[in-house]
Amino acid sequence: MLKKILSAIALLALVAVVHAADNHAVDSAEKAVRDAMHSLLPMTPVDQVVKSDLPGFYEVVVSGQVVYVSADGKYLLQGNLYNVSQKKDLTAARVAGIREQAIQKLPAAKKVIFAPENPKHTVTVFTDIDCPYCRQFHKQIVEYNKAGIAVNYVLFPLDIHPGADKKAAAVWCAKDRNAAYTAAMNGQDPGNDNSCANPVAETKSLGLSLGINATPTVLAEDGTQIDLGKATSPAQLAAELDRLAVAAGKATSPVAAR
Amino acid sequence: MLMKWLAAAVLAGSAVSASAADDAQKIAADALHKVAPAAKIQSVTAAAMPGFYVVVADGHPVFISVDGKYLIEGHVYDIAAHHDIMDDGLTGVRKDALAKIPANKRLIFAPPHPKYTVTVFTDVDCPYCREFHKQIAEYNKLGIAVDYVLFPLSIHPGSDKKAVSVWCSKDRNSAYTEAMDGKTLAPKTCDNPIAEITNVAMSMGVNGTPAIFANDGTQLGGYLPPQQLAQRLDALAAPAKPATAK
Repeated sequence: MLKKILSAIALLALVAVVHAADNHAVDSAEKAVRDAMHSLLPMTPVDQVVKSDLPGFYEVVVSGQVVYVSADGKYLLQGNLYNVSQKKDLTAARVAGIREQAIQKLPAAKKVIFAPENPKHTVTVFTDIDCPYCRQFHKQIVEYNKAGIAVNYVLFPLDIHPGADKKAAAVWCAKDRNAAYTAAMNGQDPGNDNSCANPVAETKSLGLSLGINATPTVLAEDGTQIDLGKATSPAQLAAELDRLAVAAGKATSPVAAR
Repeated sequence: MLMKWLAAAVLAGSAVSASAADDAQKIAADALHKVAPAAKIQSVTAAAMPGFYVVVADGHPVFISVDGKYLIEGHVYDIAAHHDIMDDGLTGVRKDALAKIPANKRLIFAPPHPKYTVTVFTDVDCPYCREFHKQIAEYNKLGIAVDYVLFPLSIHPGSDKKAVSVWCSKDRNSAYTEAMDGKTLAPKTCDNPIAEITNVAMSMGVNGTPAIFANDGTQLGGYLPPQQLAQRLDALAAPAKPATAK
């Protein structure tokens, strides 16, 4: 099991954007943690090692995933760490935080944006032209916009769909990108004009570096991944985004409502 | 994720509550109940990782820090040993649960002088259970007694009725073998232990078939061919090797 999970991480990391190792002073515990990670995954760059909320443990970020390693390098926790009194999933919050930063850093000029005039919410959707559920999602784009949701598509062609990368580039290179995207999602061939400078390779490696491996992956503004299985209609998605916004407000509010 | 299994756990019910918890155990139990009020705790033991308890509730293990502040759900690996110590927390619970299933609620296929006995949770309509049973003579030849317990999965509609028909046949063992060969049994009904075994399975965190357990509660597999199962049992019986670096 460990091997399976770790090899999955390693695969992701091979194609992930490699961050330069930080050059802060590395104390001995941090070195033990890095050595432990290296013994498990010699080829995989560790993106970040910081002290965890959990005393005696370091939080390690690898390919957008968060694991925890004991300061003596003996134990690795992979799963979800909860703060009991706050009833908070610290791991999910951290992963969301990493994703939030990454999608904020991605400029609008590298997305395909379908937005209403005064959006109440914005979602980032990693999408693949040849993915049936992505097409399903886009069929309702007008309704999403009407529900006050701006949709920022990030082109993320999956390897399991050969040729989807070329289609993504062709959509990007079209004169009217949004119209070309909609046409492609309706099954039209976007053609072969895919030679312009395009961000597809960059957005693809960004997605992989965030541990995204399926489409459509829908992220709220705070980086939380939305389960489309539970928010199938535009109205349900709007309600879920409302709920997340309220929950985020509550978490920072000193007055616990009940 | 946590909320998902805990919600499922409420439905499962029928777990044993912790007895005579000392202060430390109370801390761990209180912590779990803060996050999951309805969780039925089966055991609280010291984890192999210092500073933590393994709490098993509704067949599901979690680690809780001894101060009750943190809860870990998922996997905890001993890096040098390449071993998931989270699962170890289940072994004791599983041993006790297995011991509660008497011989007259099992289907026993045993050689004359078995070296080992395994309990196999099985579903008549599960392909790998059939694959396993095709080789029952080989397992027996290797000295392995196989105690089947009938655990029809809800993903196989109708397999519960087949299990009851097996159980209610005059010659249970040959009825089981016939069913595993794909033959249709005459439908029969009678008192049977299937509901009870389903509860035991849930308390052990078993949710698939085949699931093979040694008597000490260690899960040996999923499906394992005869030679591999014998090897796993030999390794388990051998004295534990220290997990130090070479």
